[in-house]
Amino acid sequence: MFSSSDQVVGDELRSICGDLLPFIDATFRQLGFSTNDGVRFFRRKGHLLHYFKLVIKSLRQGDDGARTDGNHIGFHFGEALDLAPGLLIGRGKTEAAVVAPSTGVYPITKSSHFPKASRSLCTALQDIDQYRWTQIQSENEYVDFHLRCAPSMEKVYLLTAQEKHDEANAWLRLLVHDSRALRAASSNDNTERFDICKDPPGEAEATFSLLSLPQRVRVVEAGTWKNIERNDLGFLYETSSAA
Amino acid sequence: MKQVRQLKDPTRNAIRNVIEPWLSNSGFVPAEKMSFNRLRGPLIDHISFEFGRWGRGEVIYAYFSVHLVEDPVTSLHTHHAGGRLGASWYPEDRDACKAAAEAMLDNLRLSAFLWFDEIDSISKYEGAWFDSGIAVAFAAIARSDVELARIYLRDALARKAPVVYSSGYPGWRSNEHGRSQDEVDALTDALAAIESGTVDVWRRKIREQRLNELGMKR
Repeated sequence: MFSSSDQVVGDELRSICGDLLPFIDATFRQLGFSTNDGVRFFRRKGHLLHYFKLVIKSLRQGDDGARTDGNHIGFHFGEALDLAPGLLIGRGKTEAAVVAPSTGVYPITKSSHFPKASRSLCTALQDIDQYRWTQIQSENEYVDFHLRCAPSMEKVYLLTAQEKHDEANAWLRLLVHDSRALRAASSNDNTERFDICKDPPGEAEATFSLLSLPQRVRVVEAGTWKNIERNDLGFLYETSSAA
Repeated sequence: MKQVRQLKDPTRNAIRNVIEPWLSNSGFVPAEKMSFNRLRGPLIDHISFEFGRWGRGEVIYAYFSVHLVEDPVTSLHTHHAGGRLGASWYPEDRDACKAAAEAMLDNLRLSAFLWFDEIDSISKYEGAWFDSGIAVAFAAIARSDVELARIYLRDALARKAPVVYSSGYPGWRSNEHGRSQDEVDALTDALAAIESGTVDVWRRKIREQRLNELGMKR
């Protein structure tokens, strides 16, 4: 995995990715990905997003198995729902909101490395598409893969958007349960005594549970558009073919 | 006064003569080795003891937890709705073992029994397990809320194991749900009972099975 500390960011990142783009663009487009900054690539189906973000890391020989000093390229990848509360994909220096898996890194210390590095990137993306994203092709497959067997606001929002209000209520009642996360907890100071603790619901959960169904639908729609704006994803929603 | 047989092994002696009588007076029934259960309506209180090493000394651990009788999946050894107490143990010294056992009972009174008193309903149990779709499914059945149970069970059975690792490459699982076949069968069985309207028969069967397993025939 990449650490964010020695990543190349900002204009330098966009510049290097721009140099690489002619080598990789055709493969990425063939798989249905599009980009508006040449760094983050997205594919959308309903509320489901498949994404990857090119990352360049400055490594010294020996770091993470690098055999040369200098810049190395790889990418973070994953999938997300555009209505997930507080979604943040590949914006800014850190990947705080979405902890994404990443590929290995390939050296691009001189321009002659670009063809080989780009071939490696394309192969990695084709493999990920074949092995991972063929199994997560719809919102429901995303839920099967990530959200089953536990309550979450992401799940409640999706069920609300799908107008499955009984199911949404079933999970929401757990999130706002009077005895939510009731537990016997010991402190570090005294491990021989336990206190009874709870984890009360957050403000968003409590407020959402008090809303009427039409109000809930509006909250989910507003949250989705906020995510689109925050992540600068408007270009994905402009073409009718993407929906 | 009743004559108490003193066992040669200090550990067994302390368990048999200090802990067992006290738990027995509190309504607990011995089950498998060093494990005790108490039936409390739809719930089971569970206490078990284990020994371990900490540095150069030995330690006794007391696990306490509350479980649902009509839950064929969640193990009694899971102390998600419970906790663990630890104390030093002196396996070579009979008097020290007895003193440590008595101290452990004091701690159990102040912690485990406080916890048992706190979880006084299926609703509190459900709160403790709010993040587990399977546990809340069986809690819903125990509250006779079959519509809710149906939603949770269908959701649990729809879960796909992460058959691809974070590397993006596929993993290998025993089945697509990523859980044991016994668990899948138990969930399927419960859902089938709800769909066919025979959930009361299913509940009686599961209750009987569980109590038989724990030696608490009623």
